[in-house]
Amino acid sequence: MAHHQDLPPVQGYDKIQWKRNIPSRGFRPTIWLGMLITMSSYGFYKIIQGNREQQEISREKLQARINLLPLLQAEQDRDILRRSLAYYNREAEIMKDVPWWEVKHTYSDKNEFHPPNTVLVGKQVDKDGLFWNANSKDRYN
Amino acid sequence: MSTSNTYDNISTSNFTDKKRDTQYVFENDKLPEEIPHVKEIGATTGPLLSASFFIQDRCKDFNDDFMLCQKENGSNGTVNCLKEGRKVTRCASSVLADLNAHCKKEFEMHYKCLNYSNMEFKNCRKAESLLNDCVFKSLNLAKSIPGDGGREIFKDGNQIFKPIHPHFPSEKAYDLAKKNSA
Repeated sequence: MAHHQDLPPVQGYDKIQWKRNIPSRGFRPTIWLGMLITMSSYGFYKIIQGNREQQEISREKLQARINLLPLLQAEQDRDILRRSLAYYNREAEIMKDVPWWEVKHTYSDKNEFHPPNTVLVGKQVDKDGLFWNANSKDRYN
Repeated sequence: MSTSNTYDNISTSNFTDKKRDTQYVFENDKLPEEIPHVKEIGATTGPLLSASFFIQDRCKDFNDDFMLCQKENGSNGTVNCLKEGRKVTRCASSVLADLNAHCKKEFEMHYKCLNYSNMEFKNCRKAESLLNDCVFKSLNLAKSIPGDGGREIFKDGNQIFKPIHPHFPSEKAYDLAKKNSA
């Protein structure tokens, strides 16, 4: 007796539908990638432009200060010289009775200008103030 | 720059007189007679920064001379460069005087804008543009930043950044000037 094996149909099975039957949305992946690259290139371009402008702004500020530097230093030099001379004159006046005293800066030689490191500071008080202004009338006598 | 305390607010008002611990420096004598007197510039940060590029344009030689003298003399520059320093100060004062004589309105507008915007030039491009035009016309001084490769950041339309907090009086003046010139 012939043995019959169970076999597939001669024309084959139907295709299995493994994919949903809906249209694919959006662009192709290459187009998405292209858009990504374009947009980020534009963004980086703008960032670089902005950074360069920022650098120019800093340079402008620096240059403005450089332009003022000689002016400010000239003024400061005059002020320092004025105060130093006044300081040494005061010192000479105070020490005039000491014959060996030499008016010069402690850590400097005669050939180099060195403003005194000490500053004599007074307290600004109102002569006509009362005692709660930390004043004493005797101080001015 | 300062190597000594120059805090010398000798007050003229009752209020600060009565404040405790208000100190001043004793050494407040004048310079000796043989050093010629020069009137100090007496301007604050805003006007000085506003005028700084014009000061550089007019006084470049004096400034360079002074700085070279300082470099040559080292710590003696304070004493030896007084003459150059006087020239620098007089030149800068002349620039400020000319600005006040010819472009007072624009100058005031610009330094008020600078004061208003924390001394940032980038917030005051419009006021600056008016000032630059006026100064170039009347004093023939031009602002230039050395080494910017022709990228003149201060000119109209060369900026990307806009002021975050604009100074409205100067913006208004700029718009008005544009309308009048158009």
